[in-house]
Amino acid sequence: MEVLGGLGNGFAVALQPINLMWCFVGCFLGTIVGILPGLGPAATIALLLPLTYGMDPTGGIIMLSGIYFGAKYGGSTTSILLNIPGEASSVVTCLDGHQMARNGRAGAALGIAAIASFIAGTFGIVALTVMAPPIAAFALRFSSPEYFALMVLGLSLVVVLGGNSLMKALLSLLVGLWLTSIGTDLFTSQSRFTFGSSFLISGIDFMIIAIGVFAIAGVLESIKAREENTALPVPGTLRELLPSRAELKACRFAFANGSIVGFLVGVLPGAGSAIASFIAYGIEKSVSKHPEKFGTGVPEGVAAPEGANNADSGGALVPLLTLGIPGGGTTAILLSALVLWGVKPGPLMMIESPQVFWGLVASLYIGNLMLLVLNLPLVPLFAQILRIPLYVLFPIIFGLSLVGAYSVSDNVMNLVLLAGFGLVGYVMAKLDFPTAPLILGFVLGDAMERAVRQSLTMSQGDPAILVERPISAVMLTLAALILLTPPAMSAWRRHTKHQKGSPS
Amino acid sequence: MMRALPDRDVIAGLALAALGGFITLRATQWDLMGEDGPGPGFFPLGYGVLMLALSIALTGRALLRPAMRGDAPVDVAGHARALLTWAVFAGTAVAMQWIGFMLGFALLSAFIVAHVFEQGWRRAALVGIACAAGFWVVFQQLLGVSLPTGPWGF
Repeated sequence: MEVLGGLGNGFAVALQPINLMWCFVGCFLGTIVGILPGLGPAATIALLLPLTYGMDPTGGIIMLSGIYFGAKYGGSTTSILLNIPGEASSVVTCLDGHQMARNGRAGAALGIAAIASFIAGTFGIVALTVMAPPIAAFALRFSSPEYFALMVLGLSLVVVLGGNSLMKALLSLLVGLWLTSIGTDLFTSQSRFTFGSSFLISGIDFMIIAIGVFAIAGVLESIKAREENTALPVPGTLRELLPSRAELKACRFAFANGSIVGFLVGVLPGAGSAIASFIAYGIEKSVSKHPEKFGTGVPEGVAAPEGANNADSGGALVPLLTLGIPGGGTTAILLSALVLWGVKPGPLMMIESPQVFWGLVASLYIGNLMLLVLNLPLVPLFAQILRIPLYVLFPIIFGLSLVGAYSVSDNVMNLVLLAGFGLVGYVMAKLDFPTAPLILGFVLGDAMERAVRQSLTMSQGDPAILVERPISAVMLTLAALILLTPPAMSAWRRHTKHQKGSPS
Repeated sequence: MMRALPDRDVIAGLALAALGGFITLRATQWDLMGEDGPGPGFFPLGYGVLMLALSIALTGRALLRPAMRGDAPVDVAGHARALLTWAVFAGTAVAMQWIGFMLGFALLSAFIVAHVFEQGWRRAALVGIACAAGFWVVFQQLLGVSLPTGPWGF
């Protein structure tokens, strides 16, 4: 009943004409920028966030959630028509989506992607609505040691799931922790790592790092690879965009598969939509009666990963809104935006800012429906964006990045830092270092340091406080198991291989 | 032009070991533990030491790993193109405090069109002017966003 009451109030907020307009603007802009090659949801939100600076928190957050979902939708268009995944989660959609387009079924592929996104996205939001209140109520028992342990657990999952190398992901996370230490110490006002610069005393703004690492580095990568626009044609009428009855029938299981897998994987910090889409595609292929046809343009090969990619959004919001812990780069940017508006995500959000919390959840339902209505008829229009030459698109992305970075504090030094972080993002990609742990380390670093220092102050310096409290002890044990399992497995495999190889 | 370069993990490991060493050194110069609890050096010391240890392990692992014959060659021309674009972007970002956003952005856009996409200087000038004018109208005039200004007021 409490959920229904909250949701009802949320709809009353989200259905106000001004908020509906912001939701529409967010969905529209998110889709347009999300379509641009090389820009995933994280970069899209980072680029468009400055547009919401002057808005009231509720309207701003509603617009931002529209951008979030819109950017996810937009990515599928690039994958299907250009065969260029905007982010890792769209890689799988390229496999069958682009093949369908090459087979003359571009409209159906885009239609299936939109329908799967709507169904799975709605499932994710319903699950978020049901799960958020009990998780937040449980988290009210947490104190500093539990929060520290929770962050260690979340970050250990990010490190293990976020990259190919555990060591590199950990190092990336540590660099993020260092970057967040730059500036004035939280407790003593001691300047740390400022190199004598007065500009760095207030620390580095998260937006500079996010735009640099995601948007600038993404464009540099595209320039390095010399990508070109060769978008396939899109049918102009709505009728041609609708998939056939047979195609929809073939996707029935894929809709359910994508919804469930996407949500469950989305809840795990660090797993992200890329893993969700790969798992959903793998399941779909393994249960299919014709697995050999996957990769040649089967509709369920589009529906499963696209559904998972969107259900993941609802899942990723569960730890963010109930615990204040973002699970990936995109939700880390959302967290920063919420903090910017004076809203602190976590167990108290539902109590202290119910209007914002339930308004956000209700706007997700509305935005998801709006995207379906918007996407099907407007796909031919959106597809025209892909016909804009890259030599026009790339300067525009650079321009948006510069405007976004400068508007943080009207200081040219932000632009210099932006360029620096653009290079950092590019070099990290080249050296196979995942960027998500860096972003999460930066976002959670302050809170993590505060939690561990408060815990040790509570215990007068005795670190045993972290393992004496049951919830914290369980979470730290889980974190240790998560971090130690991959190297232990690898050592075990090496040992068995060595034993098999040695003469008896 | 494709060429094999030194092991990437060795380069990354050494750079991060230097950073980890610097963090550890600086952290030890601040209070680690006081009467009121941990000081400003406590947390950085923890991640600095961990970074140092992990980066040394990364370097060591890379050096001990047998050389792979099938390592993918490096696209030197592609990297050079990307890094030159970055250098121009960074230079423009610095110069904007003197020449303003509009001129800086127009020059940056023109460079991308002419150099990266080899579209000729006439088209480059056109795109540069159009992009700068578009941003001036949308951000400075319509949205009232503040942007770096040059001596000529824009």
